[in-house]
Amino acid sequence: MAGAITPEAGESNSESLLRRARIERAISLISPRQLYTDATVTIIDPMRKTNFSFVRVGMIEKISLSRFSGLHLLSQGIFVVLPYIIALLTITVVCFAISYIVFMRQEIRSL
Amino acid sequence: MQPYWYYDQGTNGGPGPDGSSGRGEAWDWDKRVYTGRDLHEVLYGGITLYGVKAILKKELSDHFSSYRFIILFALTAMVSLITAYMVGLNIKQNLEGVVEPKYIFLMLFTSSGAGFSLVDFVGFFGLLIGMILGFDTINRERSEGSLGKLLSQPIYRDTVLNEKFLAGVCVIAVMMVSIVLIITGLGLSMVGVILGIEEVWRIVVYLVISIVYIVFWLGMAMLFSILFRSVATSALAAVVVWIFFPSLFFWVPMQWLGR
Repeated sequence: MAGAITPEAGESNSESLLRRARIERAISLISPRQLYTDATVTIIDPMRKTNFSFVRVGMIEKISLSRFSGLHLLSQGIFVVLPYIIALLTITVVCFAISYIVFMRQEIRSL
Repeated sequence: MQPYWYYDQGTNGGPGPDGSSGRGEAWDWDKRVYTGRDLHEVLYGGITLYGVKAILKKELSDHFSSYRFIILFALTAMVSLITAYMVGLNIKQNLEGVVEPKYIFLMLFTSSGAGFSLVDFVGFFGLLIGMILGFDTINRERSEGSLGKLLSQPIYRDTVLNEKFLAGVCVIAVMMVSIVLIITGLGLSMVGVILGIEEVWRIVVYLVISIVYIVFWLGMAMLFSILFRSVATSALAAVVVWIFFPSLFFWVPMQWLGR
């Protein structure tokens, strides 16, 4: 799907790579687990400023980096992940609403 | 008709055309019956709460006394404790010689011990917790024939569903809070770093998000238990979701893109 959307998929310039990554991410956001991971990682890891990055750093680099870079505050972190939390809550409520409606309309006296 | 001693209080402008007092009263003077809402409804703002406490209590005691919950809790607690312990050892080794590190405590949750971190573990295992707790909620009652008996009591149907869901939420919340508290205590004693207020708030927010996440899977499992009449089918559906959900939405598009 993303390959069809980005016709220059075979090329390797940075712009198309970035675009592909963005589309991949949009697809993976359908999964609740992805939502959960993104939401929690930004909250619980103060070094993260966004919930999506290309580069992974090891623990010792993180510790030494933390002295040079400003950590983000919790309030900012909540602001970043608020859409994810709302999305999680929404799918939960929708799921419960569907089961509620189905249960209320079911015939239960006969087995 | 109204008796001679019954007079209109004049709040809503006198008697209506049907002989009622115009105040929307519940007593029908002609038929001598009470037609309005009962006191219970009036007191609770129009929502009757019959049997809510009883069902919630029963569901909670069912959950907490079942072997299923004990096994699930033991498994989750053990795996997360082992992960936290390994991460703690790792942090302790790495921290030697580092001057005044910040937010070390939260690394207990994010850095990986035995291949996966605690956050990953909850993401992976929370699905299973929710599914196992919820896949036979309505089903079992139906196949045992107790659903009909339960609903022949003066209990509304939605009360049953709501209370079952609420009991599941309570169980999940108790489970997650206790596990996170145990890990926090373990980390305090192992790493020996003072916990700041900011870190505590972060852990609390993390806890809330985790509970919402697991509750989503509980809701999905309850949906299965309502849709499918046999317990085996809904268990199978839960397993299918457990195995294929991450792959369906993550690995398949990735593989497809990688071609």
